[in-house]
Amino acid sequence: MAMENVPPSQTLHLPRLRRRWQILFLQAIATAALLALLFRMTEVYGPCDEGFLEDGNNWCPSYEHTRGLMWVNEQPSFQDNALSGTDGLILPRELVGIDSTGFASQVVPLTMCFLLAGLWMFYQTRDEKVKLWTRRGCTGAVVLWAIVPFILDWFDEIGVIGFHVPLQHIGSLLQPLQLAIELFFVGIVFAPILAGLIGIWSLSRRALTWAVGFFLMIIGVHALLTFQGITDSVAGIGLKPLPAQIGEATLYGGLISPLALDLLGIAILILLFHEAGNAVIGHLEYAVMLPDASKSDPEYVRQFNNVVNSHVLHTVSIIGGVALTTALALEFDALMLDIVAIMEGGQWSGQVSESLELQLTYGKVISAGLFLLAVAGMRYVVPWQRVSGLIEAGIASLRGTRSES
Amino acid sequence: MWTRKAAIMLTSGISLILIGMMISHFQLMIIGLTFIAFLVINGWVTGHSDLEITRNISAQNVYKGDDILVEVTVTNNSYRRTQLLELFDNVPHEMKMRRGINQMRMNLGPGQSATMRYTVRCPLRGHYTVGPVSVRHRNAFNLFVNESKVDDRTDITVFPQVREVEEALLRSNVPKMYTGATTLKTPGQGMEFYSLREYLPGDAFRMINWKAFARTGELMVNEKTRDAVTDVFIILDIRDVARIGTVLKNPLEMGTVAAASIANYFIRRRDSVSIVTYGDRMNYLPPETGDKQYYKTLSMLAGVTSKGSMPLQAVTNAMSSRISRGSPVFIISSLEGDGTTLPAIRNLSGKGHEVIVLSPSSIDLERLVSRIPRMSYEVLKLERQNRLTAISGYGAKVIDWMPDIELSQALLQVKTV
Repeated sequence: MAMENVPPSQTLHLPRLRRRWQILFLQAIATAALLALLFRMTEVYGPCDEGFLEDGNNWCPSYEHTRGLMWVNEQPSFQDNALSGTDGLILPRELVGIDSTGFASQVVPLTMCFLLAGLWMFYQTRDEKVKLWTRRGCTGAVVLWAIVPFILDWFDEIGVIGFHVPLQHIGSLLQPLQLAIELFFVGIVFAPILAGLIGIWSLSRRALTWAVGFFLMIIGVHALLTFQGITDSVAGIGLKPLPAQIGEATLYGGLISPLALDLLGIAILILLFHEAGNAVIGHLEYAVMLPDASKSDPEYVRQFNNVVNSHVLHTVSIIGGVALTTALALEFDALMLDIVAIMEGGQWSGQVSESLELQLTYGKVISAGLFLLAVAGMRYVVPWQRVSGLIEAGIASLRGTRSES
Repeated sequence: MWTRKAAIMLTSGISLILIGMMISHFQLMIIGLTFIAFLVINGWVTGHSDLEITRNISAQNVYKGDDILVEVTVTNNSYRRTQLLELFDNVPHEMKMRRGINQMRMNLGPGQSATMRYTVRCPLRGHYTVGPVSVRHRNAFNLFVNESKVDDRTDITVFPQVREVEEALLRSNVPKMYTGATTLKTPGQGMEFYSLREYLPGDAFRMINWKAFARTGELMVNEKTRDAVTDVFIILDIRDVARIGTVLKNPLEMGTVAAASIANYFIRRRDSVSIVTYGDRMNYLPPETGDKQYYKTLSMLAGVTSKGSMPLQAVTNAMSSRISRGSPVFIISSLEGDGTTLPAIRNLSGKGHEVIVLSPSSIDLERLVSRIPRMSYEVLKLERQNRLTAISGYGAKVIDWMPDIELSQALLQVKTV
């Protein structure tokens, strides 16, 4: 098989591919989307209802971790734990950002997520024996940490008052429970981030899907808990509902409203994170499946580059197109209203333009659906691929002519 | 066609929109709309391109165990990108991938082409077909897929291996009566020059003697002397019992190698060779010589499969009128499960044919795949030895061919009474 040589740095071996700029770019995009998603989600779903807070309540089930930790901190049953010290928390306060607000409260937990994801990657690359002993070591440490204070307390007391049933030391066993509760509150916000980072950098589809599912679950739970039917019957949850109207399109030349931008941002970031993360895994899976001879075959290398370059281009252009299309779809009702307004004089047009229904969810969604239908039909009107192909062929021929001359 | 991912995305999108509408939650509606917009925008880059696929292979006829280099070239003849194009060349499962792989992902721009190269080994003889090429177009996000097959097929014939047996046949106890071609002083098909005669319509151009034409001004052709050759008959047992053993080592595989090697030896000596196979029915290749006969022999042996239970005597009876007087007959059979072996060989010997029986030891071949108790093995082996001794008692030369013995070595072990 006579073949030209491929430089070693260009072959499709996994260690080299992981340093390829296209792969790193997709991973960086997915990571950036994940972080942006965290910030956007805490911004939109983090605050509690102001009235609820003014009533003296400290905690509501919002997408924010410090309030939950403060609640743990204030529980008297957790105050006496040996490890919790004076501040009442087992996890160090600096580590969970409990004394900060906003972005500052997320910096250290985020750094920890990166660190843990790195450790997980390192762990995954070790052999089975190391993994087994790591698992055993961790389990042993947790068990010792959970039981040893209880036993020490009990034995110490036996020395003083003799043998007794250790009912008064049972509080020492609450330590693991407290840690679990603290981790639960931190995990509500940062577990999908950790899973997402593991998914992106440790190449796990399951982790990516889990992270996306978690975000959708948070949004779904928030939607249910702020639904009027629920809030009417269950008072005191304290979640801040989203506005019932999407508002006036004032941003980007009247393209989108501030609220719609926030919500659309979350949807686009979920999509971007999921697609970019999965793309990396898909391309690397293909490369791993290839035998050694094909990994160094220039044709395979060239086509792999073509596929990945094309994917990067599609990720940027199509996700951008989706954002623009959805934004336009959301404002399509306004355009329809403008058209109706142009047909002045008619009683029907006047009624429609004043219809509140059209500006609320039903009108928005129906008009957006119509717009998307029209956009979908455009593929039959303009052969986009042929147009882009002709442009590409033209550019290629121009390049050829230039290089010949 | 929509992929499962696209279907899930559409269902999720519609569900989220409906739930969002039910509980007046804009976020759910916007996520639903985004999912559907994602499908809509991706719908612009679906469909398939006009592809031209050609396959080149290094050889269409190979011997068992040889490698074939396959090159599949794909050219995008349309004015649109292929998007993610997956190519899979269907290779028979009997062939083993030696280098490269028979699939490739590519993304071809207008007019671009790519070549997929791989090498397969053919460990089993037979007639095979490489192809068709399965083509799958996907868009970048795996939402829409378009599958098709390009019906470009290449037939490959894998001949049985041909071993060098000349020295073995010379040194063995096999009678040396086959002296190859001898020249007769009459015109006919042969090698040596006989005379010149005038050109007649129908004579081959290569027979024309151009020097004589230049000298005389008339078309003259060379006539050759007729070669007298020995007709060698090879009877190969391809009955169902011939599959005992492993896929690569069984009486049928050993028999095809032996038949091909013996045929090659005699055809090279310009003798005529005839092949007869019997399984569910008898196949007969009349005696001929030359490269064409060699190719026919190998092709016939490439395609044999074990089936049926035809008795040997039925074959010898049917062939008795066709086997030339005094021609040597090679019988390649495990001699299992056929009560007519003895009378058949007795008849052949009685008619003055030199009969050589090459018998792969099916008991030892069976031991390769299943455990036979020692006592049973000894008994079976003894029965076989008795059968072989009885056959040699009728004047046949018998070769007990053990699985681990090479053909040339086996031929040296001719047993006669």
